[in-house]
Amino acid sequence: MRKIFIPFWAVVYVLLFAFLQITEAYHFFYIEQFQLFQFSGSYLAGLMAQAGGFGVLTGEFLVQFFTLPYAGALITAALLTLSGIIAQGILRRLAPSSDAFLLYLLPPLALLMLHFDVNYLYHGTVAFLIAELFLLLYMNLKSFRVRMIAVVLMVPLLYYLAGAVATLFVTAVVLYECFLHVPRFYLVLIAPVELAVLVYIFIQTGWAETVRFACMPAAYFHHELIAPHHLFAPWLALLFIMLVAFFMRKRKEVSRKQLVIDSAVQLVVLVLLCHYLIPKYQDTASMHLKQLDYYTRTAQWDKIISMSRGTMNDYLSINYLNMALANKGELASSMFSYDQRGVNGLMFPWDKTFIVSDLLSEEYFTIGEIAMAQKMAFEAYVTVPGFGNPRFLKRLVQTNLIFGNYAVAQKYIRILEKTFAYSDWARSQRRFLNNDRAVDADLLLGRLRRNLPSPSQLSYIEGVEPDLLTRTEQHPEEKLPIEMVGTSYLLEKNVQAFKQMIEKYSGTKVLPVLPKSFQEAVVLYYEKEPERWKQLGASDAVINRFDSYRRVILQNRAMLASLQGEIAQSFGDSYWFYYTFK
Amino acid sequence: MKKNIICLFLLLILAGCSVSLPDATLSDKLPVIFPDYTFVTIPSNIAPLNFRLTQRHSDAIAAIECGGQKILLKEKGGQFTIPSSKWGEMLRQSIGRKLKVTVYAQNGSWIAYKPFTIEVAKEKMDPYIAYRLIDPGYELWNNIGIYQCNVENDKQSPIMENRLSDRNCMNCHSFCMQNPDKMLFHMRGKNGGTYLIDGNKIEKLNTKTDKTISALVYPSWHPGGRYVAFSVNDISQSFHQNDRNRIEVFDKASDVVVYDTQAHLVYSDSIVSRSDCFETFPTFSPDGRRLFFCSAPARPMPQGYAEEKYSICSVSFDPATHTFGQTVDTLFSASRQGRSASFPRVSPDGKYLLFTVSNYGNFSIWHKDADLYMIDLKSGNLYPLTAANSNNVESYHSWCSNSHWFVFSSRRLDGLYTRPFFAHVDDQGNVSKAFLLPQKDTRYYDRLMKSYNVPEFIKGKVRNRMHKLAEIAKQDKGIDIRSAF
Repeated sequence: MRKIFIPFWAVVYVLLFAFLQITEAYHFFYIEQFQLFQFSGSYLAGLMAQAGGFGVLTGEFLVQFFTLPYAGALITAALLTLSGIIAQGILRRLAPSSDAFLLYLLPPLALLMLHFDVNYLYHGTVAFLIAELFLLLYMNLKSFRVRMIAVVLMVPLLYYLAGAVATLFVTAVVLYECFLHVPRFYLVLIAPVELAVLVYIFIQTGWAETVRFACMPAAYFHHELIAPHHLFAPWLALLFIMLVAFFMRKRKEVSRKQLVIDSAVQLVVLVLLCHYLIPKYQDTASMHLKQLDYYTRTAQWDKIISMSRGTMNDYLSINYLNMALANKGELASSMFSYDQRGVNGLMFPWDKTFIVSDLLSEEYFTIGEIAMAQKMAFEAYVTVPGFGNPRFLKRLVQTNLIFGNYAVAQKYIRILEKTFAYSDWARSQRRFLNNDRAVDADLLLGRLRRNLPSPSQLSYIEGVEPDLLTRTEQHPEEKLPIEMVGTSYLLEKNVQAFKQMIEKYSGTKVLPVLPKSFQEAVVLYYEKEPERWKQLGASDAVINRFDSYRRVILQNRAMLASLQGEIAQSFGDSYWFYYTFK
Repeated sequence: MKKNIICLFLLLILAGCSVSLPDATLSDKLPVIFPDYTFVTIPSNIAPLNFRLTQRHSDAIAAIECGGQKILLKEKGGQFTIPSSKWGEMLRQSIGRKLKVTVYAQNGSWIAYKPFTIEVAKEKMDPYIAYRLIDPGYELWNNIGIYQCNVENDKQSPIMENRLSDRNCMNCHSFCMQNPDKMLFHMRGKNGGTYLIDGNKIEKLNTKTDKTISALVYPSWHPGGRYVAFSVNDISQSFHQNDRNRIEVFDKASDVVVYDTQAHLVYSDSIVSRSDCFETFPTFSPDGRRLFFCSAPARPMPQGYAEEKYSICSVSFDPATHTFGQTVDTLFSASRQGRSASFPRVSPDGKYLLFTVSNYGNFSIWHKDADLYMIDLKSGNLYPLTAANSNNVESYHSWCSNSHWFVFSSRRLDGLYTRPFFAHVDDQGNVSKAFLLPQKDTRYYDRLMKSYNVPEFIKGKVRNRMHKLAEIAKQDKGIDIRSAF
């Protein structure tokens, strides 16, 4: 088994990488925005001044590369594999002839379960690795006296470098000495006493929050949330394998045949464990959203649209779809070709969470509501689970440039210039600083600036629609505001409001030509006034099609619900279908 | 031989460390430095005013002189870092005099910029300021804390951080006569309440009563220490579509009350709680016999936000009977001035009333036109603090215990992130040019993503009670205060 050490771990690494890349690629892109690692002395010094700061620094350093395709899976697989390698070293110290690969895969397997959760702080794995390394180092010290001296130094050092995981180290060290049971082995209790004193001092002085965050795995989870129980799993796994190794220590090397049987059994158990644990802990519900979010960040609107065919399962996904359609200029013309479920699918109500702030900032930016986009970007920035958010710092650069707040924009540019993934972009924005002409000439910033409402009012005092309608009248060449208003009325089935809008704007610069869904709504809402259809902008094609639809509905009035599927095939892409059946 | 080598080595090191003035062409232009410490007045107990030259150059030297003393500095790491001990010594020797600062810059050849002076005032400053660090944002928050900074060595330490209290909001820290052992602040949300600290005693107070429109909000201690004036406010926030005043915060209703810390009772009177007025920002006179406050006619909000203008009024207060007088004096009339006042604060010697003036409203931190004004309470003379103001926001302010300094919030650096500035007031009420709280690293403010909020002078360091405060916050039910009106 020793001879297959390297190939074994190579296989583990490749399998981990493949699994993570296939199932979690978008998860890594998503969590990349929860860090703001900066190549700056003051930033590094600030982190190193905290207990656990080295772990945080390393975690942030690694996560910054997750903007690169494959990097998240490559790095995470490497960390998990390394955890297993170190666990093997620990196991071998206790049971040198052990070939129980299942045991040393337990810690990385437990860690893997944590990595599915966006609220798990990445540096938790880094901290765990540091603790494992310290333990391995400790276990390689032959002299008890040297070990006692070492543990006195290692406990505070580990706490300084990695934080709460020092509790795991201390527990493992006590366990190890209990196993060895040398004379005066109880002296090892100095380690937990030392840690307890450290934690006590930190809590009393306010440097640590509570015992929970000072010495428990909760330190590596979003502090405002209740940490899940399986956060303990990697720590318990390490202690468990030490215990098992201790009981296996006298086991002699087995025959080749026995080895094959043992390995097969372990493999089966491993597969069963994966089969049970992965579906239990993998956050499949959010995978779709993470993918949509990635495509939004990278402006891949067609991909979002192609993902949105068929039944939609949640409002957030519908929001992403409608935002993609809006970016492509197809909102009002195409939205009812997809599964719409009401106005919450157009603009989800803000619930003060990061996920929704993230989405709304993108949506408001799309429709040119820059003040709202800025607000949501700021809210997303301050509510991120980690230590900063470069994505929304970028957005804040843009909104401040649009508003001409150049000094603030420069502040954010300076910070982004110190990052790995955003420095080039940040540098490219410098040309806009204190340069109204450059901003005005820019395709994106200039357009958004020109469409700012003037004079300014307080935002959304009487709701979204009045603000959008004001902008639409000031800038009729911009179609999105009126499409947003109109489609919101359609989704709400607010006939009165839609009619008022159409009566006012149809045939004007605001709505010279009605988009498809508006035309469909006209013929539906003015069903009893067909002489007004063309006057209000409905085309012959829509009128003729409505005629067919109406005949189908009237002929099958008694069994409409059962014919919904059939009717959908012919008219599922129309507003009429939405109005009748949703 | 060995001795000679050591001496030579030491000489070489000393030669490397010593700075000599270059042969430079004199310029009639002042250097552009950050922070701008040109022609400011400073106390003798301020930390070194490290600064950097912002004009393009390849090398730079600065000379600070006063009397026979001279400090020569070579630019290192892009800034001039003044050694603390030399600086402290120079200031002690220069009280009442002016330091002369000459900056030399090399850009090809050397030029010597026109020297500027820094006056060292006779009066020291209180050694600490306390402030809240917050994101200058909208509704949500993450890390909030109340901190203190020793202005003599710019060391910052926490007074309380919300990571210890379930990440709630905390605000409105206030000290009784700049006393670090007698203070209060609010927590909002989880573990909400007002926390009153008096020596070793910490009380958690539930301050919403059935007679008041909200829990207690903006505080101001009575000099005697028994009473605290508060406003109660129904506050709302909105934001502009396209205005340099990004956010608008306004009251839909507000009143003034006085809280008795011994009886746990809150008093008020119709004279400070009129239904047709919004009263807020109360503050006591230094003798405790008058209560100043801001008042504006009540109007529907948010529609009327831009028309709302606050006057500064005062009414007598009898601490023995906790009653108010019936005559209201108006010191600043919003209707006559056509502008709005906020944050009235009387100097501890009773001579001056310092306040903020903006075009409308009371949450002046978001108003670019907000400036500091003073009223000489003896002569009634009203004047803007032109030397201290900027073309951006000047807002919350706090007096030093000796009435010769005040600290205030300003957004002059970038228009969004509030920073603390200090200004000197001489015996005639003249106010000097303001200077920024110095930092060891002059780029500190560039990267700091928090605003300094409600800077307050304190006469000493607040003791570390974070753990005890957190315990009380989480475990104590709190004392319910009652209204006595």
